[in-house]
Amino acid sequence: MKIYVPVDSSAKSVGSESVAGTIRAALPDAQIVRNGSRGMLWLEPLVEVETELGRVAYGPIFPEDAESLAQAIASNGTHHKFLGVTADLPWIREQNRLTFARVGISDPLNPTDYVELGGLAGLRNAVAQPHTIVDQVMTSGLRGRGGAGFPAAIKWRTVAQCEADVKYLCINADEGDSGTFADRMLMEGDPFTLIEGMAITAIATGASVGFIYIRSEYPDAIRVMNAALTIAREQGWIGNSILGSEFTFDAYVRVGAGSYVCGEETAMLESLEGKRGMVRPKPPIPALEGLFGKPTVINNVMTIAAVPYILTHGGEAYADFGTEKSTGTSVYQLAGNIAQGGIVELGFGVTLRHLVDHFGSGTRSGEPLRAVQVGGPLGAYLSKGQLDVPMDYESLAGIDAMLGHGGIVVFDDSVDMAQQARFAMEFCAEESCGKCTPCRIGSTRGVEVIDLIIRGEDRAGNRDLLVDLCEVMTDGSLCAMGGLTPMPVLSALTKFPEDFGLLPEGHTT
Amino acid sequence: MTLTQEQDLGTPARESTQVVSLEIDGQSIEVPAGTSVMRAAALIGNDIPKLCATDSLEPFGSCRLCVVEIDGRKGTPASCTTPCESGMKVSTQSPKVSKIRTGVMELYISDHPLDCLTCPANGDCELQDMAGIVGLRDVRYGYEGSNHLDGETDDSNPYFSFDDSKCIACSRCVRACEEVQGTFALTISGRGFNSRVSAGAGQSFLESDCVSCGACVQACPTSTLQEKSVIEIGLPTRSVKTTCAYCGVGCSFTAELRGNELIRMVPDKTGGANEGHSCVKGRFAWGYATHEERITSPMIRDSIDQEWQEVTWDEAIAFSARRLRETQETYGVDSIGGITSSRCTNEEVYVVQKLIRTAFGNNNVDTCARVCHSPTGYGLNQTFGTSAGTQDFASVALADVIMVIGANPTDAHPVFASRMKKRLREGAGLIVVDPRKIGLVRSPHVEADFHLPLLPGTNVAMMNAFGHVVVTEGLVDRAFVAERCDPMSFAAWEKFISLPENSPEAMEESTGVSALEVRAAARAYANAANGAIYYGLGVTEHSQGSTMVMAMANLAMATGNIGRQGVGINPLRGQNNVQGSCDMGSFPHEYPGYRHVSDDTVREAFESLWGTPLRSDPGMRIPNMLDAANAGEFKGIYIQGEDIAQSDPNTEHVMSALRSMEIVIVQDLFLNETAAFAHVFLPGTSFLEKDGTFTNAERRINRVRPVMPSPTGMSEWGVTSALAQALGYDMHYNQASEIMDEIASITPTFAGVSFALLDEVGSVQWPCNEANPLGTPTMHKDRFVRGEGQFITTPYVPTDERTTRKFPLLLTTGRVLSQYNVGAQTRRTANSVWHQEDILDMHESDAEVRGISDGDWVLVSSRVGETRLRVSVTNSTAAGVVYTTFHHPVSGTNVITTDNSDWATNCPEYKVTAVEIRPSVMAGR
Amino acid sequence: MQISRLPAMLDQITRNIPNTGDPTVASVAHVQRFWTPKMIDEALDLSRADPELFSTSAQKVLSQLAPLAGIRDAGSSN
Repeated sequence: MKIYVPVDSSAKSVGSESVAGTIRAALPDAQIVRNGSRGMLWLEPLVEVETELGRVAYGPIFPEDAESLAQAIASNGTHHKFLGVTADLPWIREQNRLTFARVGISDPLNPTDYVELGGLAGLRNAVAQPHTIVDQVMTSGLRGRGGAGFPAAIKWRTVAQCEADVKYLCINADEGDSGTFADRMLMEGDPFTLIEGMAITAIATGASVGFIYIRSEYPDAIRVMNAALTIAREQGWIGNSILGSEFTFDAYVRVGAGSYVCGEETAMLESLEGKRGMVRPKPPIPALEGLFGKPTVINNVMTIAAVPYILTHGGEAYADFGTEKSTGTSVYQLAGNIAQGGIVELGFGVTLRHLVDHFGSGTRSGEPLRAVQVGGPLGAYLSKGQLDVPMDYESLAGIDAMLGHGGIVVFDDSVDMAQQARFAMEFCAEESCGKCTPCRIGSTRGVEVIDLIIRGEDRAGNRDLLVDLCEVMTDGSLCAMGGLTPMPVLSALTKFPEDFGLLPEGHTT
Repeated sequence: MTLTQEQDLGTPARESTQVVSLEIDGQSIEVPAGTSVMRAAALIGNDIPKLCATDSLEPFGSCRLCVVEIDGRKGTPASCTTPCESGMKVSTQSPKVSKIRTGVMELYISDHPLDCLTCPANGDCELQDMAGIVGLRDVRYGYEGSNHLDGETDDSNPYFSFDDSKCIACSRCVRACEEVQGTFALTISGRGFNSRVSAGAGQSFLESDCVSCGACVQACPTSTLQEKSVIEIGLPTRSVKTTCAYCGVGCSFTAELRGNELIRMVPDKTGGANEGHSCVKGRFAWGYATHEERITSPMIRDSIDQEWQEVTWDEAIAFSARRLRETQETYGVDSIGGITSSRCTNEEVYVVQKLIRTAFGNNNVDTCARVCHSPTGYGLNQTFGTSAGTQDFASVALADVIMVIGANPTDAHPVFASRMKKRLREGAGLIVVDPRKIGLVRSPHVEADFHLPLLPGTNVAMMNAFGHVVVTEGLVDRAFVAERCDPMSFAAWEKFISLPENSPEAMEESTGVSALEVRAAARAYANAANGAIYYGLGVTEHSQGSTMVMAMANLAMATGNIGRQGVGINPLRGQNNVQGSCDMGSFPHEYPGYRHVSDDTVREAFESLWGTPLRSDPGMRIPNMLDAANAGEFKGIYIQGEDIAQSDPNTEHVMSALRSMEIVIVQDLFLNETAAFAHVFLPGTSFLEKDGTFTNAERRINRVRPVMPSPTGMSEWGVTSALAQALGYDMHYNQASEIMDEIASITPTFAGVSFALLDEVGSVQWPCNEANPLGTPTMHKDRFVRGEGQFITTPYVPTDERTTRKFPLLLTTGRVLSQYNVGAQTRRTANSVWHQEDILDMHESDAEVRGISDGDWVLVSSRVGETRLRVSVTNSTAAGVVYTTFHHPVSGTNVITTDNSDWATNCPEYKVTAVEIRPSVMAGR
Repeated sequence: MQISRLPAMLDQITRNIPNTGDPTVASVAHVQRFWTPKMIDEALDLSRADPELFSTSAQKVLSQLAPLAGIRDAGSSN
């Protein structure tokens, strides 16, 4: 008998280690598989049992439920936490899991399972036809998942065309946006997919050394990735001869030091070089002069993890998902005040309402939803009236918002949007690298000006000052940190002026 | 910030064969590809506002004042970090960029003290300038918000202060410390609004790794980093360009003054040697010039046990002339002589040797270069045909493997060291051949690929081993040798160097360095596209100093590393004008331009120019003079700016020689150790008062201009001329330029040199003549000066100075950054805060067996004398080797050095003295 | 009493002079180029008084310097 108890840190945080221990003790003959998470976080720890019907799910199985579940399994009895066949659960069934296809299915560090579940097919194709990789990715329309949405194939082509003694591939796994966890769940739940994607990228671009820059707050991901790299090397998936070919590529984990701005690609390069995490000016673009001055591909975990699917099934198959310009799937992460939080992988273009209401099932508190922040702490706050926006790059940009890393944070009507605006400036002040003036001084002044507005001191004058400051930060900042901070601030200010003690625009006091 | 308002182009020049043309505000311009929009705009007189950009540093893009709009591009890119592209249309001013600039300025000023009127940088502050330029009229944030106005001032450095409250966090100081100086002492601590400049890990500037080079002060756009002299006195009002008088790098400076009070020395961006950089000595340690101990009146006395008597110049000159003549009448024409100074100008040196050859009627002239770089002149003349280094300093930027032998550039030639470190950070290989673990062996972002810690005195063994590897492993550049070198001499050298006795394995026992390491290092040098050798007194001050210079020259020729940028044999000259004083005919056998006194054609030319018959036989070298004095045959000496009683070896021998003389004339700034034996003291002029030229280690002739009047009332060349007149020889010049004109008229390598040319072009590197009117940065380009390069066999002959049971350790000597030679100048400045006394470095195992602990006083004895020093137990020297500096007279380092010397030039063997060291209870000597 | 340094200096020259060709000839040339006539005379006087003061190689150099000394003196212009 096979029983699956997730080892993902979201499951561990609600007791899956204890659950696994209890079940193992109660059912010594059962094979306990520690899988990744299926991404239904409100059901974690989600225990699955292999049955004739397929894998059936129970959840959430807290430590106090473990004993009774074990008894139920042993006696073929029923359990009140029984959910049904996992694959048939609507949350799972209605998704298009391309990137997350294997996450939650098996032991993340079992290479045999990985291959059995379709892994490595992409890499095999890549090795067989290395010159078609960039074209396939071009056809797929794959765009960078870090937020900027730059076409991956164009970046790769630039690096591929560079002559250099060494080229690097850097994976940005400094997943620092509030309410995001897709990178972490993939690294913990299916690390080989990332490694396979990296190996394919390396073959396409000529990169020989890769670094996975993981934030220090992800100890499990760091451990799993390191173990997976060792296994991949042993399996010959990376190393001196990828799958026996002439291609050489090896990769290493590097751990960040707790700075949000190191998620900005050039600050990450500085950090990887052992320096203070400060943003570099561009040009030169990293594709030409990146890590240690060498041509460097920098992509997000989600970007690279999509690559094996593309190389397995072809660029067109991937492009069948999503919209015309935002092709493929996006891994949305539902968080905040939401009843059903977790991972939803769907083609671009699904509406925010469908994600929040249908998958998320509304607020956790049950109170009316008031605002949704999309795209992390620098993303815009959307009002209730904007929930029908399709979740793709273009549509969100059309309403002065952004998809970012796909994080969706829901707030109910208890939220004070002036405080949220203040928090955005405060976050920027806390996390600014301190290099450029608009971000370094502007964010601190931003907090102060919002405080004056909240306190009611010359609200109109200070609102104008805040708007001016936001313009200077947007147009004048060196990187997206200072450049995007005005987005949540201004979206809060314009959509929720009443929280600032201001009348909506157009009204006069 | 500097008073001199040179245009700051914002970002450094870029070299490219590709030219791009663009339009800036409708004006067309062509620039090399890679040039920033900011620089391109500045080149057409369109200065875009900026704070974090300055043309000595790579663009940083942090202040965001320099934003512009570019047709067809999104947003407002920073012009400092945006390279020009063909067809670009740039607008430097628009409502949008104007709003950003004002908004940024408003943010800056919201965290800056509003004390412009009482600020030391008032009128010399870029922040102030920019506030005006962007039209800031209001700070709507008020001044009540978070700020750094209570930031503390760090006054720990003696020369400049750091006022945190005024810092705008532009990182220019941090970047200057990294990019220009290469010390990495400064950093930004904290992040966001709390980003603050920090010396080291929260240390004061003085405690930190800061070497006080001044690059940060130079780079600071506000008064955050400010010279204390400016804080105390105020901003200067006039400036004079001149040349530093410390080491042989020869940095150009702008002296900035109020009236005749020197306020600060600012490194000159257009200076060929330093390109805007400086070190703690040149930048700050000039206070000795007005030190209270400076002697400004001539003094005489009948005998050295009498008190000094102040007299007029006429009396002093007459007394000197009378004594000199009386001495010659009694003891013969050859009983007097003189020593020229490498600290003095070419013109001052030239007139002293002329005085001796004409008025004294003999060739008894030598120079203090005798005791430092005389083997360089001899060795390079023998092999290449010129007594000088082959490159300019800029050449190092193209070197691929740099070999540093017996030199410690970060301490002794710091401004050049910064250039070198920049190249090393770019990836050039580094081989350090030195008994000590000098700074270059491992420092921030620089690490030697090879450190070969050879035993003092075994340089030639090491170089021969290198040569052996090159020849026997097929690494000779046959094409170069065939085309450029004398085939006979090469064949002989090849045969000699291939002998098994020259192999690294055979030499291992002598050098103490593993043959494997030596082989690998030799291959690295030989295989480099450009291999460059830099060396110092650790090469020359040996009994085989000249041999070693020739051994290096052989190696460079054999590997084809001569005659282009990035290669060469480069002596790092100790003093500002070592090169010049040698060029000016200070050697007893040579006239200006290194021409032997026995050459009839040359001598006749000088006889005709000087209007007097000249001697054809070589005169005495310094050690010969001292020997002759001790033998009772040499009785009078004119010493221009050298303290032989402290700086020459075997002090006891020097002192007894001086004591035996009838007339000792010392021309100097201070009553030095030698003055204790003098009968006449002729007060000299400091470099701030001189009018003339210095020639640095790269043969660069730099102008030295009078910054302030001399308190002595006379120029040094004027004093020398007066002495010649008093001796009956008609020597007369109206101004220093006339002396250079005379030099140019008789010296082929100087034929094109004149003050007028130097004032026009800044500096030239000799040879400067009809063929090379603007000088010669790289020598021996198409052919060697002597025709074909001459290989010379260099058998290793161990020094007689070797360890014995009685003297089991080898003492070697060197310098520290903050002090200079015998310390006459630097000890009279605040530089002593970094180095109060000479310390003996000793390996822990040597210390342990003698029961010596760190900080103990020890007695150091050699076969000629003994002295007391304090010990630092370290592992920067190898076991068996001890090391000290010689900056303080009380240390008496030269009491223990022997009179061993180079076989060819008699350059003293300072670098090897067998000693024993015992604990001593007594402090001091 | 001052011990003359000349025997040691001359010996050092003969031991170090680059040994292509005849080292004695090369040493003679070196001495003539750099030594004062008085030093050469003194060395010759010393060797006449006590040849043992000089090493064998130094003596060879002196033997070739001796006939030249008179010529050089005659050519002196002062």
